[in-house]
Amino acid sequence: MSAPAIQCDNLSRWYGEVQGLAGLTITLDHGVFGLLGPNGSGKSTLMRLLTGQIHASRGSIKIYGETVVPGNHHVLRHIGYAVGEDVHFENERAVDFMKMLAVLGGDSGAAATTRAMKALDYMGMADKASVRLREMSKGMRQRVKVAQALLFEPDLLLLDEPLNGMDPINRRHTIDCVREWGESGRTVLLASHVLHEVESVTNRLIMLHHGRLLAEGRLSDIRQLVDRKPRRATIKGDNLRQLIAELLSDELITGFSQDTDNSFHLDTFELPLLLEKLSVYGRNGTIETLETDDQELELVYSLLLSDNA
Amino acid sequence: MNNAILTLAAFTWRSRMTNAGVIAFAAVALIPTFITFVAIQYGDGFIENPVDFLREYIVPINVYFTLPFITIFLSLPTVASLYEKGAIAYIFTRPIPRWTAICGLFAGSVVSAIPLLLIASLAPSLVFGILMPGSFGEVMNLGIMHSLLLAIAILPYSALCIMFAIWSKKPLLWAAFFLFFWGSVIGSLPGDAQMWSLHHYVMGLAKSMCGIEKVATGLLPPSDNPPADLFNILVLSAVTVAMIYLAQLASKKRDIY
Repeated sequence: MSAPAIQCDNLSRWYGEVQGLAGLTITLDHGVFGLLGPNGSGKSTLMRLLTGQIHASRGSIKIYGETVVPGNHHVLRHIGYAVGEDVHFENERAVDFMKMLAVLGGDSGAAATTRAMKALDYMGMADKASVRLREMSKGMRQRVKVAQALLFEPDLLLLDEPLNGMDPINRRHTIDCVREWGESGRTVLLASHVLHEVESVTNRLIMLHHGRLLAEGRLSDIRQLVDRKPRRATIKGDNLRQLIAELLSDELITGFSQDTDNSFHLDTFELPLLLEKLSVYGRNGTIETLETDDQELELVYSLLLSDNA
Repeated sequence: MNNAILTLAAFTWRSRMTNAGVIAFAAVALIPTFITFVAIQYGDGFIENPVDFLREYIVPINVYFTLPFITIFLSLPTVASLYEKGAIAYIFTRPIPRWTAICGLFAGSVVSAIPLLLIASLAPSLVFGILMPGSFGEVMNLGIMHSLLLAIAILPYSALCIMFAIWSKKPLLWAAFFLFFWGSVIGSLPGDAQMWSLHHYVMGLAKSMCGIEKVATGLLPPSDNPPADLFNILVLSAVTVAMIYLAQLASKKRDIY
């Protein structure tokens, strides 16, 4: 298909006076994209807009060149969507739930069963096909949710927080499936509020904050931005002045500040080396506490926000 | 019939009938049978003619109470609960027209209600047939017509409930108002207002199908001059189609959270 998978133009959505999404303009072609943001940043709003569940207050969305509005079912044939909320069809057996959705996608009888079992098998859930959803763990229901999105091998896969509640093994399996899907030339948009989850699947990010596009691009570029900023470690203890003098002379820190409670904030561009040094020094019991920020979402956001400001 | 409609109807049937709540509905549907049994066993000659008893007590109870009750508490949650939980997203993000999905949910809610309405209408006749065998043929004929009446009436009632479930976030209030107050009450009061109540047309059919002339309590009696059968059926069918149409329009307007 020549048209981009997703094209949002000045897309906005307000919930009364609350801004769900504000002026989002993005174009996504093929591959895996991470949609990253803390809770309330607009990820689910975007997913709902892309699947025609809610109306845009302003702007437009096109999927493979077709305009998305609630009730335009034609465009939905391109999309596989795993809803962010729980499955909610508690009384259904996994296979019945999947069969129902396969029929709604256009299959009939036996074909629907075959398709349902294939998708469950892909997500490692074939042996749980007869189990009712209410009897499954959260992680298992998450896998069913992803499986139903894969039913018709869609060109565009929208996954809203699919890894929540999964154990590490299934998380790994799902990540591999998503990556495989992206490598096959299709488009995947994976929403998450956990940076390393997204990082394990893709290098391409869309970051939202309070409904606005904060950053878009490659994770490595964002990492470079992070690396250009000094990192901060905070240590607390008695008689730390000698240590700090050593760190300054070794150029492991670029500066420091002291709080009244005997804690020191150390600025560094060499956080791993600094932590190594502090751990050696800390063995003699001089350092009572050590805290450090990390390269997780919070830091990336604070850096990007300070840059934007 | 369309596969999507059938599969959603089957899903609705499963979700309604495998739910423990169905026992409560069955209990409500058995109220007319219980009244019949008590009247026969302990009425001390109260029942002179079983057919008259069914016409004056049981058919009105079912039309005034059982039918709206089962519609409101069985059909309405079919769609309302899907919206409340956000589960409707699984259905409305499939490449099928909204009207297809709504027809499937509507069909499922009707099919789920019919066994309960059959209990409400046929079981009292069966009780008469067993305890007063002399009246068997007559009461069973009435029972069958009574069942048919309720099966026709559930269509517009259910469609109305489904429309409210999609259009409003407080569908229970709207449905109770339109089916009980605007239905059973306004639809029975003399005057032009009754023409705007579904109940008026259902009671018009009840008059010709079941021979209802009066209700035992004397309250909310059927109209003396109901519309012709064909007109009643036309109105009830038109309301069913109109409500499904409005429901699909409402589904495109309402956001899913």
